[in-house]
Amino acid sequence: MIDLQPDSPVPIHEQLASQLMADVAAGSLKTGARLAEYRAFAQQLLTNPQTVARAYADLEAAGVLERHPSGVMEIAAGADVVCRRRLQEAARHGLGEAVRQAVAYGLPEADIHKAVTEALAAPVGRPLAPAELYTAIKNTAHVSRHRDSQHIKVLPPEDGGGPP
Amino acid sequence: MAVDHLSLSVPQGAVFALLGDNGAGKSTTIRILNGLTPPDHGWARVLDHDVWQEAWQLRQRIGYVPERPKFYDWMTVREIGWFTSGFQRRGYLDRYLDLTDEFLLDPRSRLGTLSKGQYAKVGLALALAIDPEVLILDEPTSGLDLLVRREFLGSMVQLAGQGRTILISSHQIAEIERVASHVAFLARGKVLLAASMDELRHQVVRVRARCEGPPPAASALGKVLQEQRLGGSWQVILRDPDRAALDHLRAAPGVSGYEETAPGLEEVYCALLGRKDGTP
Repeated sequence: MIDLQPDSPVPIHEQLASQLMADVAAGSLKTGARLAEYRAFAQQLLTNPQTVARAYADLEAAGVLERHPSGVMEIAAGADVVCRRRLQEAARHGLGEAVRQAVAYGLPEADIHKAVTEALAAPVGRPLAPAELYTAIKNTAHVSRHRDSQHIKVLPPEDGGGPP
Repeated sequence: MAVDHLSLSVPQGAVFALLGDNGAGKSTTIRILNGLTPPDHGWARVLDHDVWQEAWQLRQRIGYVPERPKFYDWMTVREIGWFTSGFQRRGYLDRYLDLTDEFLLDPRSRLGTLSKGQYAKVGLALALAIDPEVLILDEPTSGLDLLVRREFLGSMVQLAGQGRTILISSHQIAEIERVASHVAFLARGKVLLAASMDELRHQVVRVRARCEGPPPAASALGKVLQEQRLGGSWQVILRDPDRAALDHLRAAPGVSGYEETAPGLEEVYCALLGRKDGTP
C-alpha cells in the first residue's frame, strides 16, 4: 500500500521510493516482480508522472530496480539486501538521534544503557509490517533534511533522472 | 487593472499551477492565454502563436475548461459534442463520445438536467476531445464533489503522462501539491514567485530553533516572509536563504533544536500572500 502525503516536507518522489523499498525489505515485492509502467502508476496514485519516473530512476540508481529490455521496471536481484541495509542505516541513525536527545535532556548515561538493554530484552514478536517500516524510513528521511545528516539520506539527493 | 507586468513562462510538458486569492489575476491571465481577452499591453504566446492575433490557429490545439462552463442547456450531451465538432478536427466527435462514456454520462441527457459534477465533466470532455497540446483549466474542480475531482485529476495525470502541457488555476492546494511540477503565486496582478516544485524547496525554507535570549535578527538570514514565536521556539520562513548565515545560526551559542525543512505549499502560500504589502 502506497500512502503519499503531498504536504509532507519529504518530497513525493522520496516518499514513493522509500515506501517501495520498505515493501522490498519486507518481502512483499520480490526479485523479478514488475512495477507498473510509470504513467499508469502515476494515474493510480494521482500524482505527476515525472514524480514516479524520478522515484524509479532513483531506485534504479540505488540498485533496487532494474530496467527490463522491454522497458518494464523489475525488482533487481539482491534488492532486498540493499533495502534492508538502508533500513538498518535509518534505524541506526534514529537510535543516535534518540540518544543525543536523551543526553540533551540530561538523562544519565546509565539510564540510557538500561533503556536500550530493556528494549533488547523485550520480546521482538512479529516482524514489522511494511507500513511501520515505512514510517521508520520516512522519519529518517525527514530528519535527513537537516544539513549535517545528508549522508544518511534514504536516497542520494543528486540522483535526478528523467522519465524511464 | 487585473494583471500588471505579469510575466510567466510555462515549459512544455509542465503541470503548471497558478495560485492566488480571488482577484489576484488568475482568470484574467487564463482568458488572455485563450484569446478571449486582448491584453492592453504586452504579449502572450502559446505554441508559438500570438494568442490574440492568431487565436483561430490555437482553437484546435488548446483545450480550455472554464470556471463556470455555460452550454446550450437544451442540447443533449451528444448534441453539444456534435455541435462543437463542427469547429474541430476530424475524429473529435468519436473522442468526445468515448470520453463521455468513460465519465458515465448518458449521451441522451439534456445538459440542463445534469448535476453540477456531470455538467463539469461535459466541459472536460469537450476540452479533452480536442486531444489538446495544451490544456488550460480555470478552477476546474471548485464546488465539485470528491469523486468528480479525482476524475479530473486522473485525466490531467493521463494527459501529463503523454507529455502535454497543463496550466491550472486552483484553490485546492492539496490537489495541486500532488500533481503540479511548477507553481506560480499571484497577487494583485503580479507574480510573487514562480518556480518548479524542486526549486521551491530550496527557495523557501522554514527554520525552527530554540534560543536563549532574544531571537536572532531574521533579516540577516534571507528575505523574511513570516516570523513567529511558537511557545519557547522561534520560527521563520525565509525566501532565498543565506546558507552561510544559517550555518552560523545553527552553531551559535544559546541556539538549540535547530531544524530546517521545506514548508508545504499551503504554508508557502500563507507566508507569501499573507504579507501586508503583497510584494516579494
